[in-house]
Amino acid sequence: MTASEVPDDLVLDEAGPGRGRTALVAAVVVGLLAIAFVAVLATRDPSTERSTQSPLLGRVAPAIAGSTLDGRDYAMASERGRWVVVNFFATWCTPCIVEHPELVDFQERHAELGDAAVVSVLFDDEPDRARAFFEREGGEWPVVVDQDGAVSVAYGVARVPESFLVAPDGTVVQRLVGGITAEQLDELLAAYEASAHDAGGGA
Amino acid sequence: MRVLQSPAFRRWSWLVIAALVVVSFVRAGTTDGSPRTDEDRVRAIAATLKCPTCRSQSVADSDSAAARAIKAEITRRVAEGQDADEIRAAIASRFGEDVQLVPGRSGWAGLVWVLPVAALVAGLAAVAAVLARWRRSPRTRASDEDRALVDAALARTRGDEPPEAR
Repeated sequence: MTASEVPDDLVLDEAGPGRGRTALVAAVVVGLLAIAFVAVLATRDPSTERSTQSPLLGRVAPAIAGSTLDGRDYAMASERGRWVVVNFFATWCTPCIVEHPELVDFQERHAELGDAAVVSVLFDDEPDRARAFFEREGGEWPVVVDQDGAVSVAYGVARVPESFLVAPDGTVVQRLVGGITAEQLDELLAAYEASAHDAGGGA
Repeated sequence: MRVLQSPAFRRWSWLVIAALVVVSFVRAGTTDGSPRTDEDRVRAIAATLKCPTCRSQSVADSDSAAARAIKAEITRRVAEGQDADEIRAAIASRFGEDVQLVPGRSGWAGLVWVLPVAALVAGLAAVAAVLARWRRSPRTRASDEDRALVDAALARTRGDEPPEAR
């Protein structure tokens, strides 16, 4: 008997009746897994957008307590009721030097209004250099010396400059990676004030 | 030498080898390999966290400012008596889950640990099922028809008259 004479049903019998179905089930399972894999990857946020996200958003800002450049004790809890810009910086960081006049402008205007404050945290730098920097560039706000980087770890800061906007109720509302401008901060404040006002008026 | 070739000896030698493998795996898995000093613990934890400003370097390997700050934080928390998972979770809660070099044991990340084991078990089960089916299928036995065919062929080669006329 040659192969061409073998009846089709006999071949199927030799292969086993369940084999075709098993292969189909396996193919469907593998296919579904592949689709699920693609779906998971496609729905994740792109890594470029993750830089401005932070696990801290919407949560109470980690406490900042420590001694400042001029040797005084500082506690951020004393700022409750005002907006606080928490700014991480170093004197060796060029974008930090660039953003400094903007912070000076923002702080001076809002110190008069009393609605917002700035606090800087020194990141991986010498207090002496920071003191000289503030004498040269101006700026009248507390600069906390971050012993061992505890504050930067609490805020998840790995690079400078980086800033956080803390609402008057003490929650973190915005993470700003890179240099900031006074205009940008004013716009953010206005936007959050407006939305808070709407929410208050609607309730 | 005959002892070595006896089926009983072969069976027992396989059993002994299997037992040795199982015992060595169990011992390797249960021996306490945890770090002894606080410094060792800090290093071990730092080795499982990714340095946020580096490429493919753990916090333990890196000397960047962020890595040094995280190491200091781990040291503080180890001194407070927190365990490794707690510390890892605390760091990840600030820098994001991406800093975990070793995926967590619970939640979606836990699938990384569960899936390979599940795949292994499923594969072994499939192999066992296939082997069982092979064993169950009956040995082919010559039927009366087959015997008749062979007899006829033999008769033809001997030159006898075929049993049936063509």
